[in-house]
Amino acid sequence: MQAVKPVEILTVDLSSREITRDKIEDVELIKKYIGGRGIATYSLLSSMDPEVDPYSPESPIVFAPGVLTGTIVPCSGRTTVLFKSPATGRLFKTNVGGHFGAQLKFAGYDILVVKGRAEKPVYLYIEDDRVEIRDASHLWGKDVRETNRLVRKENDDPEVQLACIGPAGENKVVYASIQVSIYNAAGRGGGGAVMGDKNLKAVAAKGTKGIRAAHPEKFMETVAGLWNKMNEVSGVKPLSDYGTSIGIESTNAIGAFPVKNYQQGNIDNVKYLTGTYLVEGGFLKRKISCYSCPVACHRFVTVDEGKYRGVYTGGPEYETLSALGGGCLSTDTAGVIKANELCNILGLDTISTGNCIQWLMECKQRGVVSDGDAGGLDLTWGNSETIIDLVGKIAHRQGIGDLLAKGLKAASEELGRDSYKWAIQARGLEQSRVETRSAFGYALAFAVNSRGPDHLNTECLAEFGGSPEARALIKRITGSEEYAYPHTTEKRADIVRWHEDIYGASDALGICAFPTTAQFWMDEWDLAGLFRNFTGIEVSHEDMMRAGRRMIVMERCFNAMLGHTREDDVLPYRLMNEIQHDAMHDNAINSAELLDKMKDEYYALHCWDIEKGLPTKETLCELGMGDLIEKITGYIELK
Amino acid sequence: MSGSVTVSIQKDKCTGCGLCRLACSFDKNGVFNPNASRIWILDGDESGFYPNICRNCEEAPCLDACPAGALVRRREDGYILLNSEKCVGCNMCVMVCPFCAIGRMGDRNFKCDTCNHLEKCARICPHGAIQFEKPAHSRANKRRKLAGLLTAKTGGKEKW
Repeated sequence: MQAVKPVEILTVDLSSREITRDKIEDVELIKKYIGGRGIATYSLLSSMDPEVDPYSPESPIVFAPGVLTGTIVPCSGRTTVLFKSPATGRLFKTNVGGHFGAQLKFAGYDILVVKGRAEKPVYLYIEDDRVEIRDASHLWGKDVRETNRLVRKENDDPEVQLACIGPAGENKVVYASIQVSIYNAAGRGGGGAVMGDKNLKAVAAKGTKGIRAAHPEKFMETVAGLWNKMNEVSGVKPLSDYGTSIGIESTNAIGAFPVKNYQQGNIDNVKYLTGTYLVEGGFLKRKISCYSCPVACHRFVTVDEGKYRGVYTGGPEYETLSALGGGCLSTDTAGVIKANELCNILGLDTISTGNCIQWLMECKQRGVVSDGDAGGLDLTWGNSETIIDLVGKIAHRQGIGDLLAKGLKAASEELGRDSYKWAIQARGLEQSRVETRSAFGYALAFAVNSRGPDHLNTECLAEFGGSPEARALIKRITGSEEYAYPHTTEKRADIVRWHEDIYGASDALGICAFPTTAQFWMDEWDLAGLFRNFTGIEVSHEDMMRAGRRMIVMERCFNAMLGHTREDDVLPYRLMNEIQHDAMHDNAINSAELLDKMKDEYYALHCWDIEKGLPTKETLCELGMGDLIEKITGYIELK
Repeated sequence: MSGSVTVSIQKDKCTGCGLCRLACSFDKNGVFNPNASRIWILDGDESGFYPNICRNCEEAPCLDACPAGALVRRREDGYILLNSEKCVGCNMCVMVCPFCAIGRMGDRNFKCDTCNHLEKCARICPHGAIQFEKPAHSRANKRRKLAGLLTAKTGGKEKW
């Protein structure tokens, strides 16, 4: 076996100000975990005490661009961020686009681990071999846009890329985001709060080193093949033209667009929340790409008239238009854009922010909270000004914002009075904007997701059978196109596991989930080909999928060491206990029985212990992960 | 040199993906490294992206400034080339270039050579923001676009 490019790990301890560089050169290990998310998760699981408090210096935060990030592979610009979440108390993988990861790679690092806690606000400056912990007192309190401007100015370099936090992260809002390249967010799980706790305002990266493929000519041939495939599929152009909100109109039409805090499945005048309207209404000024992305689904919008004139921001995405728009019963496009701008520059996850605001509005609807409790804000459904006001109050923890900043789980426990029933969260994470009562594959995926109920570990869009490519994929996974139908529990386990596998492999390579799980122009053979020709390591498509599966298994083991079992694989109360009456089909509910059936099938497919929903020693050995058994069994018993 | 090829940039189409820079550095150095690229992208947040590359000036200050005779026009199409063998790395060309379109790596300067007519950056650009054409063509195209805008039915709404 030829020598392969080692995985370069940079570790910075903010307490001791120690900077260390390590390498992983073990080809078998790289083959097993690929890189990026895979190797980062492996190193956390094997070295970290899972029980440490997310807000303790011992709890690290890891930035891991993909293996292919920084190369010419289309849609390869993504970076995984790993940390123990203050929202869920579990291991949390989040993934972000933008240009930061590529610069980290050009500087020569595959994985950046930040530990400890600085005494005063600092930012980390990385330029090739130069790694410095710098004072950030002058940046503390500044918003994301201003922080980017100042850091670029003081380094006299407009190409420096930042992963930074805003005031929300400094104030440890449990769903504070890490903003990358200003408008891309590693939004979920509160990574921003973890950085805030470490007094780490930003990581700035700039690299001048090149990245070389092991087999350049074959690598470029594989890339050229992907371009051809991309140009042939039906979903790429609409996504490029109208962004992620392209799907809102059709989702609304089938009653699967969560409106009024999941009390309704559709909204009147949905048109104003669509990607088409962003174009026709003159809001869209241009498309923005993540690094190496030919699709450019990200938007840059401005508001040129009305009371929000002068507002400009990246976005809004599907999730944001739903969370801060439809979910709050608002179709005020400019209002959503304003709230989105605030979330971006204050550093807040738009999904959790929106869900918290909806919960508060429903608290008023049910007479649990009055406008007076909210400091005189008018909590009527759909009030744009209130939504915008609340975003600021959450980030700065002012008034009722302080309650919401704790996240829905803690906030509903604190408020009591049955408000947990309309707190759309499970395991501490607010659910992303999918009506799982209409889509059972999503329901299972959300229930077993290590993060909590959201779509970013398993985007099983294909179960809707919305395109010829989606139906072909479902046929490939299940044997028949008839399973491209979301209102059944049949074959959901197979569909979910396939998506988890490919999601892990894509994340580890730095590839966006859209090509693999939404437009379907990259499959496991493509991923294996790219990895093989880039690294020179022989892998098959099955190796890639098994590597993805190892990531799921490692996350589950980490959380199991904290006591997670199948009882925790649940969905928010409302979705499990209230029927959605305006759904396209009868009995739209994710009842415990329905989930249990799918969970049994899912654990069995994984060869896990069905009773506990945990991997067994045998499963771990079969995946070549026997070395982890000792560590895990130090905390829990494995069958 | 009115017949020579030059670049035409459509700023509004650039999404800042950086693929042009990677295609360039791969073509020139066999490596993915924007720092070795002959094309740059200026990122202005509110004002958008601007791909910056040699304009192949008719009266090119770099040609006059080079003391080493490293910069010459290619005979067949008049495109200015920088011969790195002759380059002494004095940076004079960088200083006089009005567009900052000449780069430097190690002790040599470098600039675009249209990849020997293959124009890799333009070919990879997914949104058509970069095109190499004769100036007369790009002027004609602009006029056509302008005429389209001026005569289009705007429904009473200003189009620009």
